[in-house]
Amino acid sequence: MSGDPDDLAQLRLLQLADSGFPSGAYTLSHGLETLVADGTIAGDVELAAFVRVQLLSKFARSDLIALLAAHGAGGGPASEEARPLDGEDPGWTGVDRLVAIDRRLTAAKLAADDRIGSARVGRRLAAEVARLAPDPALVAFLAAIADGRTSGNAAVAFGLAGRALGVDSHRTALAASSAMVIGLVAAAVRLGLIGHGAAQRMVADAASDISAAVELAGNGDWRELSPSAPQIEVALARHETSLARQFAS
Amino acid sequence: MTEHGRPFRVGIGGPVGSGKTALIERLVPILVAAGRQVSVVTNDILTREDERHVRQALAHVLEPGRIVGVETGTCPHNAVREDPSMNLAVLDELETAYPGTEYVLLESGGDNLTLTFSPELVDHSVYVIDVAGGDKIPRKRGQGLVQADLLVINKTDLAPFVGADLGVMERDARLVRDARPTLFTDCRAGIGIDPVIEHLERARSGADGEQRAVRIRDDRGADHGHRHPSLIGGHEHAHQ
Repeated sequence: MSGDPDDLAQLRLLQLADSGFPSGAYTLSHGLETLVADGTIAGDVELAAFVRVQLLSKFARSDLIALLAAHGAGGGPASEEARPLDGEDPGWTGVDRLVAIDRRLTAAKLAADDRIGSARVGRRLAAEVARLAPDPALVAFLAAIADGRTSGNAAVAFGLAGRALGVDSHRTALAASSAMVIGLVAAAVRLGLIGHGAAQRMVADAASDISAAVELAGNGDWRELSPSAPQIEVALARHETSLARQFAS
Repeated sequence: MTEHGRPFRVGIGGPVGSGKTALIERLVPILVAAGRQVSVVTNDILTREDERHVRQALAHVLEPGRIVGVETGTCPHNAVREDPSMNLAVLDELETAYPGTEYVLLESGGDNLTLTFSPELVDHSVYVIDVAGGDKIPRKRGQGLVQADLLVINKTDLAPFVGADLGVMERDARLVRDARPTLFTDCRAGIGIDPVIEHLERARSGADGEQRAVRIRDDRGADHGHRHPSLIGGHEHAHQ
């Protein structure tokens, strides 16, 4: 392939982060649907707070840490990021480490809708990116999912996807966080909560939180995921039996 | 074409209330009685209503695990066309849980005539409209209606009450759909279902590259002896 390597990496990142990339992520509201249905979120002020908590208290403290670890944890040549952490078995690299990261993230997801949604999106994302760039780590991850060793979370798949497409871990994490915010705001539009202009304002305003989330996650340890957003967890759990089910979470 | 060992995936689309669920609830017992292994995926706009309805209606025909509802977060056409990821994920789960399945009927509503299915999601598509929408519907075209491998025009019993001319609908459908077949049904009464089964069996055997379609006997189900009088002239077999 010809072209400037930086340009190519940037273009691949844009493709991966495009809301049109087929991963099914648009079917998830991450608890928003329930909170709108019960009146907890009734306008843009509450929505902005929800996005912030989702990003900084939940995503950055669990999914995003797993994403960064997965980006460096796959099979193939060990990168600097794949270096075992202090106290970790030095022989424990490659797909075993990847499976451990993914299983740890699954365990941190309390509500069934959160686990199922993340796994379905993760499996599809991994499968679609593997069709474009069959990176060994991604292929090994898909094999581990098929064998039932792990469920295949969206964030882990996104980290591996970035790696497979030659995008560095920082930019991959920014893209995943941005996609999360854009997805939440798009869900709010479809729920009739805000209009398209307010939605874009909210995405723009979230930029500093997105940057902070990636920085926070960079200091995290995948063995100690600690999402802390009780109201969102309760909403996700209540969604399982909710009559309002436009979204899968 | 189906890959070896994978079920024949049939997309059933059409406007809300046109009778997609009713058609599925008629087709499944006949297919099961003929020895076919069947699963059903329903894509609903707001709830899992269709999943519940199908489970209830087919309680003694299909085990509940073979019927799965997918929440689409948006108008379902997105979940079967632009980004069918959630449906593909559910199909994977179903095909792993029930190996040997021969048919998956994948229902998706979409309140316009443009609903098409991704060719990477289904092997065959059926579009269902009803006469109560007016007999002008077929000539409005719309890619869903035009491109579907089979067009089903349901609720023929209502035609006299809404002033719909089935002859006009059949003629217009033939005009906009080239040689692709159109069949008339009254799913509520179980009329016109056998030709749909025959169509699917032919399509499936063609897709498999094997001549293993089983001619399903006419002497079972509600079809027996109940050809709809308004379909005289072989409209049911317009494809032949």
